[in-house]
Amino acid sequence: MTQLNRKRKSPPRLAEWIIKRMSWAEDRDDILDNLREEYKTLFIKQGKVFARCWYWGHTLRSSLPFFVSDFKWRFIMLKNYLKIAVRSFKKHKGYSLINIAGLSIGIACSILVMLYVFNEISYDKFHEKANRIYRVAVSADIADMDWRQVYTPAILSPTLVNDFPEVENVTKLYNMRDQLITYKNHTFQDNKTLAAEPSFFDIFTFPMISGDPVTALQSPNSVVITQSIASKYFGLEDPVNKIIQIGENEFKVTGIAKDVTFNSHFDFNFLVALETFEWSKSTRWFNNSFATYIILNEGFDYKKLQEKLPAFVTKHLYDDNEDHNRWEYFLQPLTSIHLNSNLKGEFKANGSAAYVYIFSAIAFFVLIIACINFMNLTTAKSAKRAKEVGLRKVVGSVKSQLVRQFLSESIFLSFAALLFAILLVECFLPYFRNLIGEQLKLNYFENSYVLPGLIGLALLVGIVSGSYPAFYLSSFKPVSVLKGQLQEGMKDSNLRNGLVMFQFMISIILIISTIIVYNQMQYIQNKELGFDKEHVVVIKNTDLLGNNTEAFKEALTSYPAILNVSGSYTLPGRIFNNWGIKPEGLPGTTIDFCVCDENFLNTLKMEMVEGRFFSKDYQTDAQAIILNEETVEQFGWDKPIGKTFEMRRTTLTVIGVIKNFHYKSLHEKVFRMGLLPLRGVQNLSERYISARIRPDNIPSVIDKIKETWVSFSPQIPLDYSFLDDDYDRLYKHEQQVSKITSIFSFLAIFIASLGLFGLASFIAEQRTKEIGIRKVLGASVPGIIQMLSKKFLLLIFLANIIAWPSALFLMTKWLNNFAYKTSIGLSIFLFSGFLALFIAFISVGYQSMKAARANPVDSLRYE
Amino acid sequence: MEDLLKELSKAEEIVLLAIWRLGDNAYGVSVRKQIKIDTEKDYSYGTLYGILRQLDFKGLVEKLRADPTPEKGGRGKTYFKLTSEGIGALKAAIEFHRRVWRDIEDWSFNGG
Repeated sequence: MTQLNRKRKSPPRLAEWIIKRMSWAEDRDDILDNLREEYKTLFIKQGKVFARCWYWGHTLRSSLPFFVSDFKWRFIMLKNYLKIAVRSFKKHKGYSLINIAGLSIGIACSILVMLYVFNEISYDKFHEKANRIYRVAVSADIADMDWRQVYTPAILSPTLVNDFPEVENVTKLYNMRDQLITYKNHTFQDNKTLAAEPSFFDIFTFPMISGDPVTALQSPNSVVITQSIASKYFGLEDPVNKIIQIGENEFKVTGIAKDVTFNSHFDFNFLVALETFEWSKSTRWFNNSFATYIILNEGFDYKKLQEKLPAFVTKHLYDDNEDHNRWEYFLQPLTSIHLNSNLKGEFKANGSAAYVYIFSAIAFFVLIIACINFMNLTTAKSAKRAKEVGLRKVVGSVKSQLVRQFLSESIFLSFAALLFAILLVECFLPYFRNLIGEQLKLNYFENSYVLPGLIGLALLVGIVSGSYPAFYLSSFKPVSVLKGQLQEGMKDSNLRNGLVMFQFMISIILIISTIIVYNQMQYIQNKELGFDKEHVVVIKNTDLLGNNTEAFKEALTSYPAILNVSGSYTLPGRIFNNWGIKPEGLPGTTIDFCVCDENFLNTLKMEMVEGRFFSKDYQTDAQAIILNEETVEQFGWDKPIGKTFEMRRTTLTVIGVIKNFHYKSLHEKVFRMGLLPLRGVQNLSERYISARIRPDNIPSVIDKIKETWVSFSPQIPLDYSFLDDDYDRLYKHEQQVSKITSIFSFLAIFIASLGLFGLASFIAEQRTKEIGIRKVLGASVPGIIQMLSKKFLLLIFLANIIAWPSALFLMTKWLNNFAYKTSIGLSIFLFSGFLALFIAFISVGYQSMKAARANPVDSLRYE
Repeated sequence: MEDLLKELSKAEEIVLLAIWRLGDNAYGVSVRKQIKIDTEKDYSYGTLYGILRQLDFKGLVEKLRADPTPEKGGRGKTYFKLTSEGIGALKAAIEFHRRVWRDIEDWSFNGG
């Protein structure tokens, strides 16, 4: 009756297996046992067949309920945890809010910075063949200076294709900069005109809306315009085949291209056919005006090509290279240009890889601080909950349940913080855009990494910060907890103190950096430049007035509000051309130079050291040159007046020495510079007319200038700016850095203080009984405050010790970007230290005071 | 977990009552049989244990492992017992019912 019977009496195996799979672990065995019992009974009473049918019937009937139950179960569990989390949140509203605030700010900062970083990294990646495109640039030694530029000769591109089979295609681009565009008597200015070849569309991916990319730029005098230009100046008309005038030539519109997105290292509104210009066919190797781009065959390593370039240079340039200076071509991967290039002649200002790293680091640290805070507060808070835990444990909660409870709470808070962070980001995105000066869009759904990344982050923070207290706490012995004896570890964790110190250290470094950056900006703004940039109006494109520039200048001077007027080819803050010269008795070298009229000195309020400035009285001034102090010093000339120069096959005589002025940004040392007269041998036009004006009632002066301009040139709109603005734009990057570091240091300190505030309150609460006893024994309120705050303030002090050298190191490195820098004084460090101390003191002090003031009777009753 | 005690669902009520009626002898098979007697409904194991799980989570019912007998081979039967909260829930249920059904005399619901 044993083995055999038992086997015959067991339920169908398959059905059992199904039930096993469908049911949940806990009750699985029990269910199977019960089923088996009923089966056996039925087997005996009603026979095998009936029993088996019954069993199968039950298996099928139970499948749905199992399934549904499972879902309901999970749902209930989730709801339960949520409820608990919300309840705990409500109970400790203050602390929870602090926690969430801190974390949200941290997450929001990281999101914004990540946005910026992705932005910067994304440049030029939209081209289909982006990973095969390279720019050919020049690296040379000119007069002992390392000279790197974009400009290459026209003949470079066809020669490259000829000599190297791995170069699949080439194209060159010419930056036509500011141009006057006329269509149907409507003239306007545009500063985004490029000249390109038909291969342009082959290599780069700029989709065209109408017109054929293959032929659009083939014939001379054709132009491709962008969509927004088309709608702006042609309205509903079809621009194709219409004639417009650009500069001095006429062009036919042969196509419309989509607008160039912001993340391209060059930009254009008009793309004219390079074919139009005879000079684009020059075969001279040292006529460097173009940007040359090549595309290599699939899979070809560009470094291999680069190795062959020195031989290429020798082959083609040797004869032209009179001085045989070091002259090299090198290849730049297209996608690396924006962040790494920074050559002379870039189309658009490049970004900077360094700043990308810096900002990423800053955001990372702010996030770390916020997360540490979160952990700190959650842990400290769980000490408070220890009583709850103790109670629960006595009643018999399972450890895992407790862990799950704590974890769910912290994850809940973490997600709440994420939501709030997203809200913050949406709010502040416009301000951030202004700050960065770029277009930033946060697409939560477009990029497949964004949403999961954020959720993952929130989960990670929640889990990590929740697990520490969860496990630590649920291992307490309930009895000791109820008795109020907390393990020593909870009161004063070294780890927690270390974390606080770390936070303040980062904050102090940020504060110091902010101050120093600010100082440097102030220094730049206020440094004696050698010329006066205030209240000078710069009128552009004045070369279009042709022969009337003199009359225009006179007309302007006739106004009393206009003190001085001068015309020049360029101005401080703009590009100064650099040409080779041969000074008398010295080897050939180069100088930066500017062509200007005789009023230049007075209009910009510069000073002469020796000799005289240009003057209409001297006919010979046409071959004169004025050098700056730096040049004279470098040449070692004691008596520079009268010395001669060879420049572009003319001889020039020095008639004066001008005091050094910073015509470049303060990033660079003053270089050798010379001034040449306008109608001298170097026939460069008067592109800018600068007018020094009276500071009062500026709008009316501008109006007068407008009037005068219109009378001289009615068709062309007046384009003007202020010299100080133009010059300040050289420091756009630094201004950004300044703003950003100050914002981040404010945030960092804010978050750190929040954390400290919360932490201090818990510690104070912890020691309520101790405080009560002390008061009874006669301690004073200030005394107690001091006792409570001592530890924290010591931490801050330590934080300073580490922060100061680190900040000094970082800032010295940053300041080395500038040839002219401010000094780093001890007072900056002291100030930052005290600021941090002060803020910490407020955070801790408030809580300490509250605790110290408490009535000992109440605190001692705290059981 | 205390405040999860809203009104019992009908099925929960039935199961709780059945367990109470069975006293010390409430386990899978017997509970199912009892419910059959009480309601003439044949609860599948899936349904039954789903409800039992919920009741356990709410703390109204507890599971007790009996000593293993040689028959079962290894594990004992799991018996179900009402906790004090469970009893309280039943009391509340009847109170609730009494309130809702107060003054209703016309159980055939004629007129009105």
